[in-house]
Amino acid sequence: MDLAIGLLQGALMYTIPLWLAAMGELVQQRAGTWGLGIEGTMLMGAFVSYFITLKTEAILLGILSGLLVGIITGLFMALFIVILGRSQVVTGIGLNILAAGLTSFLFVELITKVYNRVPYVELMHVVKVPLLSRVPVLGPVFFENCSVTYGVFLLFPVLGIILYKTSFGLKNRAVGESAEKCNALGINVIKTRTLSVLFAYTLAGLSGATLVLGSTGSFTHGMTAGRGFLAIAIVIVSNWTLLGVAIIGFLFGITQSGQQILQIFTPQIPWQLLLAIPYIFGISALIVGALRARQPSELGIPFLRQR
Amino acid sequence: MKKPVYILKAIDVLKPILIIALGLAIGGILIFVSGQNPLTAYQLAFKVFTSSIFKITDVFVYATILIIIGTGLAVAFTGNMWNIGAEGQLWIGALAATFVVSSLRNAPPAVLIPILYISSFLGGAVWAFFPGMLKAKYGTNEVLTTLLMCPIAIYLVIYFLWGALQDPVTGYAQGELIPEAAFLPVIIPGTRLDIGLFLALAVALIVFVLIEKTVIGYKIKIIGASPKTAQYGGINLASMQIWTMVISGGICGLAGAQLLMGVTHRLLEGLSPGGGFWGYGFMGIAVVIMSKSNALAVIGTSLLFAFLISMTFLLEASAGVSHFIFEFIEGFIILLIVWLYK
Amino acid sequence: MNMSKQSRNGSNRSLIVDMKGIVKHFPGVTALDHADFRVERGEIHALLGENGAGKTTMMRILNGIYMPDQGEIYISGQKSSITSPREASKLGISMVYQHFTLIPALTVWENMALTIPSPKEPFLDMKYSTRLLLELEEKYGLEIDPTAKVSDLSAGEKQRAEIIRALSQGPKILILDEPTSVLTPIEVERLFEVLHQIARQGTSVIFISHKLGEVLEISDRITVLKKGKVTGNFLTKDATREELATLMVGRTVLFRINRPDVKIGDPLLNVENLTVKNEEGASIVNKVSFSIHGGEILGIAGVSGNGQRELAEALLGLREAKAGRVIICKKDVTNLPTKKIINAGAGMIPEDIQEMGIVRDWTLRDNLILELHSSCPFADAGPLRWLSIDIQVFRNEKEIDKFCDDAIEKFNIVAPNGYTLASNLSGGNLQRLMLAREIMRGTTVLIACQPTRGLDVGAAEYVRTCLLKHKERGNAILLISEDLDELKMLSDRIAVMYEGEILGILPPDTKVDKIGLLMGGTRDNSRET
Repeated sequence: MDLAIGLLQGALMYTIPLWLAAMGELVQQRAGTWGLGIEGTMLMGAFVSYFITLKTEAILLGILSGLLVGIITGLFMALFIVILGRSQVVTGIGLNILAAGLTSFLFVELITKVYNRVPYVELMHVVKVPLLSRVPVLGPVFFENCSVTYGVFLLFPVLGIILYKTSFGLKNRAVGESAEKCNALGINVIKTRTLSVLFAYTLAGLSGATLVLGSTGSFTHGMTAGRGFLAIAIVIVSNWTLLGVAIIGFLFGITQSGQQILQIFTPQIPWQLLLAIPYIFGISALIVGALRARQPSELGIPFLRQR
Repeated sequence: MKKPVYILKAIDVLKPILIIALGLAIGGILIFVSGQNPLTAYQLAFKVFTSSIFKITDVFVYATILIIIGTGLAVAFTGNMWNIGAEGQLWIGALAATFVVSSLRNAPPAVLIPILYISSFLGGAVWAFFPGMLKAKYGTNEVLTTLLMCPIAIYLVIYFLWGALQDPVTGYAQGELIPEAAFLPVIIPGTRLDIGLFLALAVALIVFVLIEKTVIGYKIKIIGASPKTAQYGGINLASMQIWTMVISGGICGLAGAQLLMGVTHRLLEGLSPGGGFWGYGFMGIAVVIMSKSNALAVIGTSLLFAFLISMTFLLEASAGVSHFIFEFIEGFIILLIVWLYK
Repeated sequence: MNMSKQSRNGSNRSLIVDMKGIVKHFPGVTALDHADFRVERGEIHALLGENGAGKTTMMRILNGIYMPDQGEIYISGQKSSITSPREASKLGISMVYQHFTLIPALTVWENMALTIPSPKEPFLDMKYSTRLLLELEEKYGLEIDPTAKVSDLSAGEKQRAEIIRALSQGPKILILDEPTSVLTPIEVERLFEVLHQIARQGTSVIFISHKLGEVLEISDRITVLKKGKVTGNFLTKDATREELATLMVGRTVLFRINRPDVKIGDPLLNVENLTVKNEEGASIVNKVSFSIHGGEILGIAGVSGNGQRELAEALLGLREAKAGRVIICKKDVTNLPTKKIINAGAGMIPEDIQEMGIVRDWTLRDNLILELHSSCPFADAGPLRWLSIDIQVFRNEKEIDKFCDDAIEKFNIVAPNGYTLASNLSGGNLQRLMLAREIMRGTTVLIACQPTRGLDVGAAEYVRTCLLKHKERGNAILLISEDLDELKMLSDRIAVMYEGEILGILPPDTKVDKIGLLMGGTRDNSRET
C-alpha cells in the first residue's frame, strides 16, 4: 500500500508542472498558435523563482516572480508570433536556446561561483485538507499538498468552464478554427490570440516555479529536461481536450514515477525508450491528426491582416 | 542575350555581420550583469585567440560542421521543406558511422574514411525520409515531425551508448575510440584542422551547382517556389519533396561523421553540444536563414558563426566567463534573425 | 433593349431598395454602367446575368463592400450611404454568400452565439441561443438541428444555417448569391419554399443567378444585367426563357476573323463519359463526352463554375477522373501522371496563370522551359560528357537562351531579354509566354482556359490569331471561354456546359439565344454532335 501511495505521490509531483504547462498550451493552440517556447519559459521561471526565493527567503515572491517571467515572455512572444506573424517554430526554438543559455550562465556566475555549492531553498508548505486527507490511499496523495497544487486541481474545472461555457472561450476556440471568418464577424483575432499566448506563457512560468518550489528546492542546468515539449506532446495526444490533458498528463507522471519500479521488474525495457515514448506518441498523434483533421484547423497559420 | 552579373547586395553581407556583432554585444551585456567587465573579458579572449595557431584554426573546425549542415538545410529550404531536425540527422549519421566503424576496425584509411562518410549520409537520409514521406503523403507538418525526431534520435544514441556501443576500455557511457585509420588527417600540424574542411567546401560547391545548374535543382526550386505550377508542369510533387528531404538529411548526417572522425573521435553525449536541444543542427538553421539558402553564402556565414563560437569558448578559457554565454547568444541571434528576416 | 413594365400593385407597396444610375469602375473595366435596380417590399427579385455582368458587384455595393463611383441609393425611401457591411446590416440588409461563413468546427448555436450575445454574458447560454434558433426556424420554415456541428451538415443544411444567421438580425432585405450552385434538386425545392416563406413575412429577397429555369420559377420580378448595363426589367410572369436568354447573353459578333477552311484530321482528343467528383462527393463533371480532331477548335461555352475548370484540370491529370476515359492521340491517358499526359501531346493555358502557370519570381527563360527543362536539348550531360556518361543532368544555358530568343521573336513578347522576371510582364505578355511555351514545344492537344480574359483588344486579337494558326497546322484545341463572341469567332463547334454536363454541341453560327438557353440550363432535346 505504501508503495502505491509513494508511486502516486511521485506521479503527482511530476505531473503538476506538466499540467500547468499543458493547460496553458492547450488554450494557446486552440486559439491557433504553437507555443514552442514554453520549455525555455519554464526553465527561466524555475531559475528566477529559485534565485528570488534564495535572496528574499520569501516563497511567495518566488512564485510571483515565476509568474512575472511568464508574463513578460508571453508579451514578447505575442508580439513576434501574433502581431508580427513570424515563424512560430523558429521563434520558439530561439527562445528555448536563449533561456537555456541565460539560466545556465546566471546560475554559474551568480550561484555556483558565489556560494561554491548549490544552496537549497525552502519548499512550499504542505497543507492537509481536514478529513479528506484521512481517506486511505487517495487521501495522502491528493489532499496533502501545497496550495499551488490545489490551485491546479481547481484550475481544471475553472478552465473548463471558461473555455466551453463563456463567450470568451468560444472566441478562443473559434479563432483557431477560422481566423478569417471570425474577423469577418467582427471578432478581434489579434486580441484573442494575444491573450491566449499570454495565458500559456504565464502558466509556463508558474510551472517552472513549481518545479523548484514544489519538488526539488534547487536549480540545475537544464532542469526542465524537455518537460515543455512533453506538455506539447500531451496536448496533441489528448486531442486538444482538457480532460485528455488531465488523464494523459497523469499517465506520464505515473510512467515517470513508476519507471524505477518498472526497471526492477522489467529491466529489458530500456529507460531511454520510456523517455522517448512521449515524442513517438506526439508524432503518431500528428499523423493521425493530419488524417482525421482533429487539430484546430488553423493551428500554426498566422493571421495577417491584408489591408 | 547578355546574362546580368550577379550582384551581391551590400545589405546581404552586412546583415550577418551586424547580427554576429549584436550577438557579441548582448553577450557583453550579460557579462556585465554577472559582475564582470565585458571589455576586458573580450580583450583577453581576443589576445588568446590571436596568440595561437590552434585557436585560430579552431574557427575553421567549427565552420566545417556548420558549412555541412547549412548546405544540407539550404537544399531543404530551397524546396520549401522546413527541415528543423538537422540535429537529429546529425546524431543518427554519427550513430550509423559508429556502427560501421566498429565492424571495420582494421580497414585502411583510404577505404574507411569514405565508407564512414557514406554511412553517415545514409543514416541522416533515412532519418529525414520519414518526416518527408509524412509531409508528401499526408501533409503532416514537417517542422514538427523533424523537430520531434531530434529527442528520439538522442535517446536512441544514448540507448546504444549504454548498451551495444559502450566503451569496453573505460566502461563509461560513451563510444569506443575509433581506430587511428578513421582519424581524419590534420592539415596543419598541432591543430585540429583536418581535411574535412575540404569536404565541406566541396559539398557546398556541389550543392550550389546542383541547385543552380542541374535539372534536379530546377525541380527543387520550383516545388519550393510554386508547388501548383510544378505539378502543372508535370513534376511529381510528392516524390520531389521526399527526395529533397532525403538529400538534405543525408548531408546533415555527414556532419555527424565529420564530428566523429575529426573532433571527438568517439561517439559521446557531447558530440553536439546541448544534448539535442541547441547543438550544431540548430545553429545551422540560423546560418542558412542568414545565408538566404544560398550554399556559397553559407560558407561565409558559417565562418562568422564559427568565430562567435570560438570567442565564447575563449572567453571561458581566458576570462573565466561561463561558456553558457554562447547558448544565450545563439538564442538571441535566432530571435534577431526571426525579427530581421522574412 | 430596355423592357420595363410597371408593377400593377406599385401603389400600396413601397420600394425598399432603389438604386439609381450606379456606376462602378475597376482598373481596366467598367463593372456597372448607369444601372438602376429597384426592389419592392416582400418581393422575390431575381438578378440575372452571366459572370462579369455586374450582378455580384451591384449586390456588394448594396451590402457595403464597395462604394459606387456614381449613383444614389435609397433604402426605404431614405437616401443612404452604405460604407461597410456593418452599415448595411444596420439598414436591414443581409447577404448570404456563395462561400460559407459559418465555422465548421463549432455547432450551429455556437456560431450564433459568436455574434448574438446571451443575456448571461460573459457566459454562454445554450438554451437561449437554441431557443432563438428554433424561433427563427419556425418563423421562416427552415429546419436545422441547433446542436449539430456545422461540418456534419450537408450542403443544403449548411446553407439553411447560413440563411438563418442572415435572418437572425431581422433584415428587411436578404440577398442570396447563386444559392443553388451547391444544392441537389430536392434541396433547391426546399430552398424555394423557404424563400416564399421569408417573402411572406415581409422580407424582400434578392436572388442572384445565371440559371433561367430557377429564376423563372422562384421570382416575382427579374432584372437582367449584361456587361454592366440593365438590359431588362419586368415581372416574371411576363417573361419568356428566350427573351431572357437573349438579354443575358447578347447579340452577335463585333468583328470577324478570317477563317479559312482547314482539313480535319484524326481525332486527337477523345473524352468518354468523364466524371470528376468534388470533396463532398458530388459530380462537378458529369459523364462528359466529346472528341476533337486535328485542325479543329471545340469551344466550351458556359458560365464559370459549371465544371469547366475541373474538366480542364482532369484532362491534364491534375484531378482524378472517377469514371470515364481520356484518350490523347490514340493513347489512353486516363488518370496517368501529368508528366505522361504532357508527353502524350497535351498542354494547357490555365485560367489563373499567376497561380498555376508560372513562377512569378522567376525569369522568363526559366518559365519558358517548365515542361522541357529535363529533356534534350535543354538538359544534357554537361561536364560528364568527358566521362562518356550521357544522362540529362545539367542545364544547357546556351540552348535555353536560343529557345528564349526564338520565343520572344516569334511571339512578340515585349521584354528586354530572357532574364526579365515574369512578375514584370503584363497580362498580354504573360499570355504570349504561355502560347510560346505550349506551341513551341509541339503540343497537339491544347486546352486554352479563358485565354483572353482581362486583355485589351489588341492583346486578345493576338491570342486568337495564334490559336487559329495553331489549329491550321493540324492540332486540336479545346477553347474554354466565357466570351460567346470569341467562341463563335474561333470555334468549329461549340459545346455548352451546365452543372457539369454538356447540354449540347452546336455549330458556331447557332443563334445566341439558343446558346444562352443552354447556358442557363434549359436542356435541349435535339442533341447534335
